[in-house]
This record gives sequence, structure tokens and C-alpha cells, in this order.
Amino acid sequence: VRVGNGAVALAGRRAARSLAVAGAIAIAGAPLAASAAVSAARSREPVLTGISGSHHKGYDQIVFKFAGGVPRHATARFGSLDASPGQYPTIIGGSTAIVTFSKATGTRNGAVAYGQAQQSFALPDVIQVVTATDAHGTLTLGVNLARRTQLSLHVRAGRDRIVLDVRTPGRIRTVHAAFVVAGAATTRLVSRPVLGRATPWGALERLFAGPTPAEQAAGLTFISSAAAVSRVSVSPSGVARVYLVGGCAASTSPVNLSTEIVATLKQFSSVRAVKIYGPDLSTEHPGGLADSIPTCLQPENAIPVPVTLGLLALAGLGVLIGLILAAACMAIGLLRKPDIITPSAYVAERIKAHPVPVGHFEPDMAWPAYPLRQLSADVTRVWTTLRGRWARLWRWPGGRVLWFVLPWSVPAAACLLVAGLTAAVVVTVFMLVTWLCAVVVLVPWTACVAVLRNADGLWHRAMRTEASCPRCYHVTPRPAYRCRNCDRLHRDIRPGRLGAVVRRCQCGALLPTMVLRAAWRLEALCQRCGASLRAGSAARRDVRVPIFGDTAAGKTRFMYAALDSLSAATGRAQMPLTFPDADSEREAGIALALIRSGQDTASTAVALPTALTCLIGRGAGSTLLHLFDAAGEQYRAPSTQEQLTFLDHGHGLVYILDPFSIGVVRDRAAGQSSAAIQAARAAAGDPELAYEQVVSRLRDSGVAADTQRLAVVVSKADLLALADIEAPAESAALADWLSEAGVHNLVLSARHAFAEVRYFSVASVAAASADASRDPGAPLRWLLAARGARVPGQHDGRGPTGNDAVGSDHHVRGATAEVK
Amino acid sequence: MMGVPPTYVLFRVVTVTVTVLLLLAVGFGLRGHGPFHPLGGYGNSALNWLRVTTGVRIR
Repeated sequence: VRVGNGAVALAGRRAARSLAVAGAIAIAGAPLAASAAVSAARSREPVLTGISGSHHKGYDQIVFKFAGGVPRHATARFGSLDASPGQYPTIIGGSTAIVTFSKATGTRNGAVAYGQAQQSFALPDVIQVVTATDAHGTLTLGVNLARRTQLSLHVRAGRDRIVLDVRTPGRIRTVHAAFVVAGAATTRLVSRPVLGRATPWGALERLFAGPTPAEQAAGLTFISSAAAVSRVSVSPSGVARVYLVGGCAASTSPVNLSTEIVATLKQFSSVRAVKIYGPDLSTEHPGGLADSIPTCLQPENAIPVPVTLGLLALAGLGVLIGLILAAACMAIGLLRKPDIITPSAYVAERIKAHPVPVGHFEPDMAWPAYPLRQLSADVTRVWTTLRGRWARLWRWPGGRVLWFVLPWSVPAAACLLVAGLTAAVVVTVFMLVTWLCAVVVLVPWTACVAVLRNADGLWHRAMRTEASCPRCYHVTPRPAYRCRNCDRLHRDIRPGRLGAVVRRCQCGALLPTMVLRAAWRLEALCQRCGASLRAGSAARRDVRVPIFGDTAAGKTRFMYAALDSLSAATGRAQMPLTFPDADSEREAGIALALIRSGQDTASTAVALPTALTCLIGRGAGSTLLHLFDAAGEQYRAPSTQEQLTFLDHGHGLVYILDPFSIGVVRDRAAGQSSAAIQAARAAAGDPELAYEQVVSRLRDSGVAADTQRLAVVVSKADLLALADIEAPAESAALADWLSEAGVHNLVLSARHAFAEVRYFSVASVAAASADASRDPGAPLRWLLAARGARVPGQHDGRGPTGNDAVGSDHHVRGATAEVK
Repeated sequence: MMGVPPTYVLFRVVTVTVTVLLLLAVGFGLRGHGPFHPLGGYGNSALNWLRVTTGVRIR
């Protein structure tokens, strides 16, 4: 029971020797005394069988487990073990609690019975427990503490354990210690709780304590090199200096004590370099910000320095050659001898990959967007250049035989291998960067292409734009465009592989990509015959109106009289009506002069007609009106009729019916006025025949006539009036009048064949002398309105923005449509 | 002589420049500088390994 007093006395004697004593003693109490009383015989001394440690709130606890009872006396005091540096790797500073068990031992059958003689703990204050002495019935253990605090020793209720409690006041932080991974030349950081601040000193304390038994079982080990640390300092510039004492044994392992110290100290952000000094206070490089170790820690069996320097020089030379090689290959592959994918080569590739079907055009000759083709060509060229140049290096000097003869062939080969590897790495980085740049560019580029193409398509649908060839009558939403520089045709100008906003022709000229933009900047050509199209084709509203009828029915005169009417009406409304091409302007000028002077127009030549085109309005909202006037003879022969393909693409048809070709009318007129008959020069054929021929042709060609409008124009109304015959102005009445006159087959057929039919009675005279009820411009205004074109009426003063698109008083009066 | 589009030249200049800058940044990073300074740990480890293994100090 008096264990405590004896301990105190022991601490006092030790203090007299050299060490401070500050330990507190806890008395085991009655169970301990009773146990001591019954453990008399030496052969029956209690045996220490295990040491374990744990942390509890406010204290660390070390449990000593005994077998055969507990010791008679147990003391704990602060002190110091009489040990030389390096004997106990843990003890580099701090405090030590000496725990002594009297009449006890830690050995059994000559071996340590409680595990390892030195055990480390991951506790804030208790770092390690080591065996000091075990002889003469006294077992002395040293408990290495990070900080001297209060101790408490007592027996646990189970009567086979003595417990040492160590107070841990203050905050607990964490540091890391780097231990070597057994079997691998690496270190691994493990965490340790520490009292107070996390300092390099505290981390080194835990490092030198070694791994815990559990960490040892996990493969961690501490290479001490038989050294201990006497001092650690960190300069403001971040240089940590570690001073070793004791032994300083090198090893053959690539990792040793210096590796562990460096890795442990560099966890602190304030440490930029670690300099380790040996026991003789020497280190390899005392100055600068580089790590440094003492000579004694140099690996004993490392590669000799000259050999290493030679290998490094070889590797450095190889890296240098590799960098030069890579730079040269990039310069050659991209600058001097690049593999340029020209437009013609690109077209050939495209055709080879996707053969052009019959009737389709080859891709356009323009430079493809860089990421889509040239990029891969550049990367491939750089790689092939690198391979070729590197292979050439192996042929120097003197051929391959010398490689096996010359003494420097092995280092040269190693150098070239390093050079090739370096160059390959650089070129690989270049390739990755190139592909990355391509992705960065292609994402917005693709979005831009999609937006522009959709914009083109939306405009095409909204404005009903098309490109009509005036010569071959081919209709397309996208005409071909001629390069301003080299006259090369670009048949698909849409945004795409050849450019998003602009494309570069093979000649180098920049061309706009959208139809909307190209229409105003480039010459548009027919995709089929190559004829020039009207300016703004495919960007302006396009209305095609074929005018057909029998010979001498008055088609040509009606066409120009209608144009004169439109011109007069648009002129009054400040809306321009012009002719976009020279031919149309010249022919219209001559014909309009004849009309306005009251003279007859010339007969139409028996040839395929070229469209007479006029431009109504200005800007992007304007309308191109194409009028097709073929000679009546063209409609009679089936062979020539086949060529009149403008009929197939007409948005509305105008059928000119000569009233004097109707027998009843002609007979009645002859009775009234022979002058009128002579002036009329009536068409000789059956008026229904020409109509039937055209309708049959449309039907045979598969044209959906039931989607078209038909304007039936009874011409020569002025001459009918001369003969005292009044054709009704109103559409339905005029249809009845025609039926009664004997052309009821035409009236009935038209009602079923077309989407909408309207009858007009017109006087093909100049606008200045025309009766408003016989306005020749009315049929065209009606057809234009169906396509969304707003044209003012003959006597409409409201201008082009008036709501009544057709707008004439003639239309208002005349107009009950015959709708199927 | 057919001229190469300026966009080709521009793209090549950009990619080569980015490659060079990237390699330089990695090089500086291995020495603990620049945007890739976290690579400095690997650089130090390599130098340490070299020093420990061969006794040769590069810097």
C-alpha cells in the first residue's frame, strides 16, 4: 500500500544525479497491496504481457497488462533514461516518464512477453514506450512524452492491469510523419495528434518514434540510420535545418532517413528546402534553396557519380536533340513542306468517299475549313516527318554496320532513343493541343453554320424566294454563283464544310456563303444551263406567270399592256418597277412604246421564249415577275410543247381568249362592224383547243394544276365595244357569257382543273387610255397577290402599302372568283 | 502558286504557340513556378530520387 512513498524517494535520488523529478504518483490501493503480499516467491513474479494506449477526453491512457497478479510496487516519475543517442530512436527531446514495477518482469522464457520492446502510439502526448531495464525483479519502462504534464498511476478494477494516465491539456492538432513503405522506394504519410501547435519538431518526434504496431503490420517501417535529432530550425526563407546526432549510417536503399525527414518536413508550407546536417555538422550544400543531406547518408552502393553524370549528360543531349528534332519536324511539316489539301484534292477525296450520283454536281472547289481536313493532314505530316528524320539519325554515321563496331554505339543509341521519345512527347502534345483547339473552334462554328443555314431556309420559305432561269426555265432555291476572280462556279453556296460565313474559292477570293448574301454580291447562274439569272434571284420573291393562248389571240399585246398598267400604277404609288436585265428592258421599251402610241405589237417569234422579267419594289422585299410569252404555234405541236417547261413551274397561268375566235361572237360582230372584225384579226383556231392542249400537257407532265390559279383573259374588249358587244366585267357573269357563247367546255374544265379561276375582260391598250373596268393589269395583280406581292391598283392612290394588295377598283367590281 | 488561306496559317501559329507555352509551363511547374506549380512536388521527388540514388545533385 505504500508504493507511492517509495516512488517519491526514488525520484528524489534520481534528481540528485542529474534529472528533474516532477512526477506524480498514484497509489494502487488495497488490491495492489494484497497482491504484493501474496507474491512472495521470485518464480511467481507477475509478468507484463501487454501494453496498450488510448486517448480519452483530457488524457492519454497507457494500460500495462500483467499475468500472475500485479507488481508489488509500481512508481511513475519524470526522469531521463540513461541512454546514448540512437539507442532509443524516439527519445530526441520532450520528457520521459519512468515507470518502474518492482517484483515483476517482462520476459517469459527469455523473450519479451509484452510484444515489442519499443512501441509507438498515435496519441497526443504519449509518443512511445520503451523497455529500459528488466533485471533483478525490477522492470523499468520509459514513456516518452511530448510535453511534461500530470501523471496518475492506478490499478484497474480487473486486478491484472496497471494504468498510467497522462493529462493532455489544450487543443489537439494533427501532423504527419513519412515512413518508408517496405519493399517500395516510397514513403507514406501517417497522421499523428499533437498537443498545441503543429511544428516541425513535433512531426520529427513522431517520425523518430516509428510506426505503430498496426502501421508496421500494414508495411510501414522507419529507417533510423542510427541517428537522432538534436535540433531543428526553420529560417524565414523557408530553409529547415535538421541536426543529427549519434550514428549516421547510409544504406543501399534509395530511401533512407533523409527521405523520411524531407517528406515529413515538407508538409509544412513554411518549409521550402530541408538541409540535414550530420553529426559532424556537415551537409552537402549548405546554401541556397535546395535540399541537402550529409555525406554520411549518401547511399553506399549508389551508381558512381561519374557514371551518373555521364548518363545524365547523355539523357540531356538526347532531350536536346529530341526538342530540336520536334521543332524541326513541326517547321518542316507546317511551314516548309506542308501537305496542303487543295480544293481539288479535297474534292477528289470527297468524290472517292461519296461518288457523285448521276445528275448531281461535284462538290465546289473551295478551301475546306481547317479543322475539318487540313488539321489532320498537318498532324499526319508532322508525324511522318518525325519518323523519317528520326530514322535518318540512325543511319549516321557510316551506315548500320558501324553501330555494332564503334565503342560509342551503345551510348549513341541510348541518346537517340531518348531523343525519339522526347520528340514523340512534344509532337503528341502538339497533336493534343491541335485537336483541342479544333474542338474549341468547331463548337461555335457548327452552331454558326446551323443558324445561318436555317436563316437562309426561313427566308426562302417566308418570302417564297426562288431562282428562275429565263432561258431554260429551271427553277431552284439555290442558284450557282460565279467567283468574281476566276469565274469558277460555286453550286452550293450554303454555309458548311467550306466555310461558315465566307468561303475561300480555289483562286483565293472570298465569297459569301449564304444565298441571302451571295444574291446581292455575286452573279447568279442557272444550275442547269449556266445562263445568267436576274440580280437578286433566290433572295427576292419570285413569281412566274406563263401566258398562253392561240395564235393571234393577243398574248403579247396583253403582256405589255398589263406591264404598262402595272408601271403606271406603281409609278403613282412611288413604287419602282424596273427591268433587271438589258434584254427585258430593251424589249419592254420597244413594246411599251408601241402600246402607248396605239400601234400593234410585233408577232412573237416561233421560238422558245425568254422570260420578260420586271422587278417590282425595292430591297429584299421586292418581287421578280417573270412573264413567259410563247408563240401560239408552240402550243400546237406536241414536239415543241414538250419544251415549254415554264408551264410546269408557273405560279399562275394566264389564258388569252380571243372573243373573235368564238363563232357566235364573230358572226354577231360581223353584223355590227366590219371594221372591228378587220382590226381584231381574229385567231383562226378553236379557242378551246389551245386551252385543252396546255391542260393536257400539264396533266401529262404530272404538274399539280389544281394548286395553280388560272386567269382567263378575254382580250380585245375595246374592239368588242366597237362592234357593240359588251362582255361583262364581272368574273362570274363573264364565265356565263362565255358559256352562252359556246365555250362552256372550257369554263367547266377550268373549274375542275385549277385551284381558282377568274375571268377578266381586258382592253390591251395603254394605261393612259384604258377603261378601269378593262384594266389589263388586273389579271397580273390577282396572280401576284396570291404570292404575297403587294401591287397597287390602276386607280389606287394609297400606294403599295394599301391593304387591297390587288387593290384595283376593277378587282373590287369584277371579282367573284370561280373557286372549285 | 495557290495561296494557303490565312486561317490555316493562323490556326497553325496558334496551335504551335499553345504547345510551346504548355511545355514551358510544365517545365516551370516542375520547378515549382507558374500556373502548374503543384508539379513542383514531382520535380523535387525526382531530384531527390536522383540525389538519393546516385548522389548527383542537379540544383
